[in-house]
This record gives sequence, C-alpha cells and structure tokens, in this order.
Amino acid sequence: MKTRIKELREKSGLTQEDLARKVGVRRETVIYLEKGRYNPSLKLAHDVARALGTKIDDLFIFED
Amino acid sequence: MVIKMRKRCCSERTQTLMCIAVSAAVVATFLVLAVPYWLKGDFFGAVATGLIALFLLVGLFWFIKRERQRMKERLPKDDEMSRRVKEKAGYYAFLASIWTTLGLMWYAGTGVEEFGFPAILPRHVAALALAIVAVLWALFWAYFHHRGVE
Repeated sequence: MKTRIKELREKSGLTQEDLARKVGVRRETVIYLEKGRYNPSLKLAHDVARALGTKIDDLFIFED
Repeated sequence: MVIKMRKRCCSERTQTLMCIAVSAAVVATFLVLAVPYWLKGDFFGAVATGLIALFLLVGLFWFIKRERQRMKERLPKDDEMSRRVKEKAGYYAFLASIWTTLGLMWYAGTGVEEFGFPAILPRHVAALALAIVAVLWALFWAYFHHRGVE
C-alpha cells in the first residue's frame, strides 16, 4: 500500500508533528503512515483525511 | 464521528513517572543482587547481574529521553499503533513462551535424566522462563516497532 499523506501534508504546510497533534497520535505513527508501513484504523484514516482536507480514497493507493 | 475515550487511572505524566520509578527500582535490585555474588567471589555471577543492570539502565535512559521529547511536543504517550505493536509483540511472546516452557520441561525431565544435562532447580526454571519471555517480548516489540504493523 502506498500513501499520499506526505505529499498532501507538505502541500498543507504541516510538519509531521503538527499532523500528529491534529489527529492525536505519536509522531512515529505519522512517519510509519507516510511510509505505508502501518495500516491505520478507519477512524485514524478519517481523521488524517480531515486534517489534510481530503477524502480517505485520496490518501491511500492500493496495489494488487 | 464520536468516539468514547477509555478512562485512564491517572495522567500520562504520572504513568510515565511510575514507569521510570519501577524501572529504576529494577535496575537498583539487579545492582544490589550483584554485590553478594561479588563478595562470594562469583565473578561471572556479579558481571552477568551487572550487565543486566547496565542493559536496563541504558534502556531506561533511552526511554526517559524519548518521553521528554514526546512531552515537549505535547503528543500522546500511547496511540493505536503503539498499542497494536504491543499487542502483536505480546501475542508472539505468548506463543514463544509455550515452546520455551515445553523446552525447559523437557530439559528438566528427559534432558537431565536421559542425557545427563546439569540439573536445574525448579525456581531457576520459573525465573528463566519469565526472563526469556520478557526478553522475547522486548525483541518482538523492537522488531514490530522497527518494521511497522501492516
């Protein structure tokens, strides 16, 4: 799974720390999310999407 | 979306301080345990116990540094990923503990009687099993923490 979290976060002018604070997780979690090394819960995906002003569908790229 | 937060027994700061206090007590216990070994002339026992204390002390300093940074950033102590890493490490450590216990039982029974391995006291078996599970949990935690949880 690939994500566009880093791209969208940078576009929003947020740091990893800012995003972590906005969604209430540790900074490490944001790092792992960006690297696609953590599958978040639906709630966290929803919170991240909302913090970045986008939809969940736009955050993740699923590969077959 | 309304999510009900789980109630905690105390603040995160108190939890962290309690964790540090317990870890410091464990380190101090190992250091105190090393003294009788040293006085009895058991160099290996004293060094082994001292090394465990040193290992734990390094871990404690790493933990304190990490927590200070986290508190400075005002980020939560635990989140869903850290909980999932702990759960996964616990699951694998539990499975490993079953095999460890079976292995130790085999050693204490068949190993000693049939193969002439050095006998081991039951309390040592229990302590060894616990120590192995604790170390395995830490290793699994480090592995999943490094690799991520997919």
